Amino acid sequence: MATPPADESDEPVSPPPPPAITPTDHSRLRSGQGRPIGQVVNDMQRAGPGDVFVQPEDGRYVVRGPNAREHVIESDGEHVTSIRPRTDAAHKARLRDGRIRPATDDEFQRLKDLVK
Amino acid sequence: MVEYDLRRTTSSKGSRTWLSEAEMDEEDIQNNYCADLVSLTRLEPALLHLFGAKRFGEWVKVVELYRIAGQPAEGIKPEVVAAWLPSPTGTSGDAIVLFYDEDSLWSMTAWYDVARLRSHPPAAVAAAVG
Repeated sequence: MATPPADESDEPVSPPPPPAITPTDHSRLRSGQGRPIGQVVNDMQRAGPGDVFVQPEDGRYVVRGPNAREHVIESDGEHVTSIRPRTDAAHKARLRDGRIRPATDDEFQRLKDLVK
Repeated sequence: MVEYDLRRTTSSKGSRTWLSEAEMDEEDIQNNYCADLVSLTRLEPALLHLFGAKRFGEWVKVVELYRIAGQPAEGIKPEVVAAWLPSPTGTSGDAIVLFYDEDSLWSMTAWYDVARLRSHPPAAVAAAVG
C-alpha cells in the first residue's frame, strides 16, 4: 500500500528537521524571518568603499545601491530596511550634515564579511 | 535631531541644474524625512505605532508619526502620509511602507522587517526616544 505524503497524513509526525540552510558566512546577514531580501545581498556584494556609510547616532550601516536604492543594516548583520528612492541629493545632504559618515576601512570590511 | 534645510534652492528659472550637489529641493527634503522614519533607531516608536495601531492600508500623517516619536517635524508637508501593506511574498514578519503626497504624487517605498522591530525590548525603544 502506498504511503501518503507526509503533509497529507493525519498521523503524528516527528518534529521537522532543522532548516536546510547550514550556517555559513552568508547567514550573518539576516532579517527577522531568517532571510534578507534578495537585492540587499547583491548590492552589498557589489558595494565599494564609496557606497558604504554609517549612521553615527545608532551605528547602523547604510549601503547605497543602484537607482537610489538604500539598505540599512544593523552592525550585527540584521537587515532593518530597504528604501527606494533616497535621492542622491538627499543622501549627500545627510553626509554633509554629519547624519551619516563614510565607513572606515574596518567597518567596510566587516560589512563585506556579512555577505562573503 | 532631524531638521532639514527648507530653503528653496532652485534658480530664478526653476532649473535644478543650478543646485549644488549637497542641496535639496522640497521633494528631497520629504524623501529624507520619510526615509529617516524607517532608518533611525530613535524613530522606531513611530513605527511601532504604525504597525500596531494602524491596520494595513490605513493612512497616517508623517507629521503625526514624528510627533509620536517625540521628534520635530517642522519641515514635513502636512499632506504627506504613510501606510503599510503586508509583504506580497506573504512573509509574516515583513511589511511594505508607502509614503505618499497627494498634491505632487510623490511617493517612496520601503521594505521593513517588522519582526526585528517587535523583538526589541521596550526599554531599548524608550531609550531611543530619550
